[in-house]
Amino acid sequence: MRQAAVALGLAFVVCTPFPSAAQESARAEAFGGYAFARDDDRNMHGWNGAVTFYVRKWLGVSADVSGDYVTLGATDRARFAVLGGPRVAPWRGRFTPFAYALAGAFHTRSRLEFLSVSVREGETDPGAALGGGVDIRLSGRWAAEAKVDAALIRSRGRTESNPRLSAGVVLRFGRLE
Amino acid sequence: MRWTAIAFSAALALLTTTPTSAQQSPFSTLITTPLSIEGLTTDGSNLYTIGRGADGPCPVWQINLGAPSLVVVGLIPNPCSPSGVVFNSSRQLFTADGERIYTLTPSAASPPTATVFASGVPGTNGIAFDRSGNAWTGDGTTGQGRVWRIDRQGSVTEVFRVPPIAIETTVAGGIGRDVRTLPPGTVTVTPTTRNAADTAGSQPLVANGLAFDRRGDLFIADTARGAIWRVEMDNRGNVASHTGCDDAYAPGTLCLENIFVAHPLLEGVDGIVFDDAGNLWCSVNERNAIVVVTPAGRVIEVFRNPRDRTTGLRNAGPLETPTSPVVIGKTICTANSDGNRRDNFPNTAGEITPAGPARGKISCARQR
Repeated sequence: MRQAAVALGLAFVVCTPFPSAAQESARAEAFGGYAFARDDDRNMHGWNGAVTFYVRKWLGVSADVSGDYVTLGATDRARFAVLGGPRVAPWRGRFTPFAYALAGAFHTRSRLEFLSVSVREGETDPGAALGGGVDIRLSGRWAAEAKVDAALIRSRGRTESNPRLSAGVVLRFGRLE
Repeated sequence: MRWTAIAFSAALALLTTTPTSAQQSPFSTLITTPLSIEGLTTDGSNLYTIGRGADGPCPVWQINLGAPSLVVVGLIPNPCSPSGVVFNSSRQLFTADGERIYTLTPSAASPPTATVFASGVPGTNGIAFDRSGNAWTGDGTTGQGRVWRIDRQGSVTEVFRVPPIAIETTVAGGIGRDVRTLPPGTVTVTPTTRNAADTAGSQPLVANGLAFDRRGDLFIADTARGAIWRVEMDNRGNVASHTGCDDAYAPGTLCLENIFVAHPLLEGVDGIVFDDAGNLWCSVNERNAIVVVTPAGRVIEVFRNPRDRTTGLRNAGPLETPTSPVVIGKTICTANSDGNRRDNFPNTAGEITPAGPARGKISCARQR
């Protein structure tokens, strides 16, 4: 929870829109890249994809999906997230900071294989992700993006907070006047 | 047509007789011990167990998984018959013995003699450490279901109880149930009944192996019921589970809602340990079996001794009363104590026997 509070506070400070933030903006953008996540004290690696549609120059709506994987002894584990929510970017420039607050579901899938036993289990839990990042413009349509958030997962009566990190490229579409 | 038939037959024969790459090796013996053993733990690369019933001090053995041999790294003062053994986060070794908890720091160069860390825990058997460094242990075969917390200074507090199988009342003999294993108990079989022929084999043990999961909840092996209890802990390490639902039991006795799983596959469950994925591995001593309980509560038998078609018994190994499991990566090992009951009866069969020379052993299986 402390991670989530820090992430939310930073996002609020960084992303409060300035009145003079009127810059040329894309109508939509798509992100894809590598993802890293912690699950307790374990490292997971995977992918992250997101699509954002901007309804204002500084306000968009994001849909975010990710998959993270780890092998733990005889168990392969994967965690998928499907999240959506607002994303704010206070100004546009070569470096564009942003913050987001997403909510949705996390699905954890495990497969244990030992001797002749093979067991598959899945669990879907509600959750959220609070965080932010920065876009670095590479060209008119392309940008690099890095973001970090705290994933909050409500599982079996308790809320777990784990950090996630993603880095990849962004392709922008359209123009928002 | 003939060639087609020949090719088809050959392919069929090949498919039915060639082992697939997914075929797994069963449990095999890592090492035997000249004394009986019960507890087993690891420091990540070595196993540790303790010989029981020695004439002198009981030896603490270190066994390297890659090159197994019995290296003495400590001694438990005589008389001794240690059961559970575990490391704390400071790499100090603790073992349960009688009504005491002993501790030492293993050393192959100069094996130390263990000192008493705590006493006043009659029947102590399994031991587990919580996040705060407190040791927890149950009362084993005394059968009252007491579970104690022992702080870093060795101060003992009874925290809760697992409901005993039977309770003492004004009714002579108590009220409840008596779980018995056959053998050593026996029944008289008639066309209409299967009643007890004697009183042997009573199994009152309800607080045996203990283990904490990643969330900090405590799991307890209930040998008699074939069950695993889950005791929820709050962030400060206090018991959050409901107790006191039935005032027939002693104050602080767990409510039945705290049973995580109860399953016939777990009859005789002894030591338990979590792997990194949150699966609970169980040595099921009465059934010569290894059972895993998944985080969602599915109970699956991983291995059980094969039944001899001639004798109808399962006492010839490779498991011979498995008591305490350890997980190292994709390898599962268990101590074997060669008890003389149920599936392992008579314990004169198999690789280890009461007469020796091998009286205990460690068996391992590896996922390839």
